[in-house]
Amino acid sequence: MTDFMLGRETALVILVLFGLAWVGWGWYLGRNNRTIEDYALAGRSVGFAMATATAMATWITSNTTLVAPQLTYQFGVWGMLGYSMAALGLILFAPLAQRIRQLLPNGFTSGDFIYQRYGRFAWAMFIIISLCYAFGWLVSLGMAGGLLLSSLSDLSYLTGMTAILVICVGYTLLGGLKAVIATDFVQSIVIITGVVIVAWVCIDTVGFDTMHTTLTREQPELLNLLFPAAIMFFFNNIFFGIGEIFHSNVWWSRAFAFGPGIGKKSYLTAGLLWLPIPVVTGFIALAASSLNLVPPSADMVGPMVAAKLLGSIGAVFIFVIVFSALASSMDSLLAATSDLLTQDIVKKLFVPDASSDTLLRANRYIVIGLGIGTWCIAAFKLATLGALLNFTGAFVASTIWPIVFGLYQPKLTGRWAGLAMVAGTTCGLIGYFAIGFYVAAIISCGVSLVCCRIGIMQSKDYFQWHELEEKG
Amino acid sequence: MSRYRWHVVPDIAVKIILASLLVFAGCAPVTAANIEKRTSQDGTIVVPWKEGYARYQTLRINSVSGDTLSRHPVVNGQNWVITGLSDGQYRFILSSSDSQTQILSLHVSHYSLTSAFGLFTLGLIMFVYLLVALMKGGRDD
Amino acid sequence: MTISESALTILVYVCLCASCISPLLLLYWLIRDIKGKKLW
Repeated sequence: MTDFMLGRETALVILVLFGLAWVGWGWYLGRNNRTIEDYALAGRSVGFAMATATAMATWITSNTTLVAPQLTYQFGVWGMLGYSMAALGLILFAPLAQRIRQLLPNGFTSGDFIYQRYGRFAWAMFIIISLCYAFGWLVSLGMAGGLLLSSLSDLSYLTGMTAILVICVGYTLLGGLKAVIATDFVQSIVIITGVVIVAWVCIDTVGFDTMHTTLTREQPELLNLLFPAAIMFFFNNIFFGIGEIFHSNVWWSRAFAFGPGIGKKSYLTAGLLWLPIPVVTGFIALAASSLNLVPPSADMVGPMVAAKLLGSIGAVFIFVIVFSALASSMDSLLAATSDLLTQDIVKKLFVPDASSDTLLRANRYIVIGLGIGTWCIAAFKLATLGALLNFTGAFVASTIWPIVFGLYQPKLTGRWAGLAMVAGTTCGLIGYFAIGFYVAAIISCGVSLVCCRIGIMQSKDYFQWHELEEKG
Repeated sequence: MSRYRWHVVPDIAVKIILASLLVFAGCAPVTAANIEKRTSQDGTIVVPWKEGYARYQTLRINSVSGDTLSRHPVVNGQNWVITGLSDGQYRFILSSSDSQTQILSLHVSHYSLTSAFGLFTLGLIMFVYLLVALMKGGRDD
Repeated sequence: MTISESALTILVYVCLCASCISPLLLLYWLIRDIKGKKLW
């Protein structure tokens, strides 16, 4: 697919070096983990710098480096600006992070809050949605690892996929959330530096006047600020992003792990720092026609342009950037999903009196299990899993209002919150198949809002927030 | 002067003959064995690779009036993803030095701005409501 | 309504400069947290 490939030996050397460094560092950081709180929540005292970096790095996924250029190539200026709006998920989560920490100072997962606030029915719906999304994202990351590493180098799909899973499982297992956060810090610097260099070289080589002239002649819609499809998809993408962040334990676990008073500041800062990145990664796609490149599939436009611009160094660069982006999301997902399964399934359903040691052991086994499970599913290379992530928009967007009202509106009961999630998801999926993917999240969010408002209007209940502390 | 004219005449003749050949080549009938007709609502199209394309060097995208809007190289086995086209009719023509063939006819008709802005406005209203809910909740905190 | 070349240039340059600053800011905050013993 790319003109340019890394040799097998070079690719293996990079992977082995990263692997040894990360797993070694993970072991070092994890040697003082004694309790489940040390392991799963880094002692609940992560400082501002690490907190901000991990929020940024986790939200910079392979999508940011691949889908931002793809969307720019398809929808032009609105494509990259629309993608930037995913920063709103982080920014709007900032006040929620503070509220979560305040209401549940001893909480572990998003499921803890939903269970205590709403009860069993809403919790069950929420857990189903969370696990569908988490597995979908985990497997798609595993597949992306295999596909990308094999298209950028001589490595096979299985080797690339196995390598990235083994490395991420290795340091997450040994170091827990501390290892995840520390590696995220380094990965965020690597990713941002890498994409900035690619962008500067693009401007230097092609130039804005050539880009603009070529686009005006060959792809005029990409410069059109009234591009209908892009305008149509704009808020659907925003609600998808907000739904992903508001419900996912990846972000809730961080809210519990960050030191007191840190959550709101770090999520806000991370969101603001993340905002320009999709424009930087995306705009290089506007240079494709000037470089006489036509990608065989839209998601390859980013790597193709970068490889053409950077020549022989390009492949190493992209390889390292893509690896960092994948690893920084995969480690977070592994940690957060294993926390959710440990606390919400093992502890709540099977062993309610489990000690910290038991939970710590269970958490570690679950990390290994998730790695093996992801490998097995990703090894079949089921193309439909890419599509699965698309219609998780219908699932995740239905959780936005139950979570917001759950945190701030004491009149919403569990029955109506659960109903909102079910109705929102169902209608979102109907919209997805009947109309198109670009309405799934918006319909889901809208229907969920209507259900929640009806629930609030007719409710005579009034949730007492101190009950959360008592139950916790 | 007369000697100059004798030299020029054969040159002009060659040029006229060459020009005619070029014009003739340009007007050469575009073979159109299997012209697929497609439509697009967002200016994007994936042109899949087919057997038999390998003997051509260039994919041209022409407007209905015959102007070539863009040219793309033919890479063996590789599809083309073309994006950013405005409303209109386009012809996709594969050409080599001695022949050309039209493989695709594309009609681009973008979504209406009314429906686009309708969906945008609904989303904006819900987004503003979310902002208000968060700010109100934060204030009552 | 086509975006002009100058508007596109300004948009990309602003985002690029902001992205150049973010690694520096992260490193500055890291050093500050280490000095203040507030890393973890």
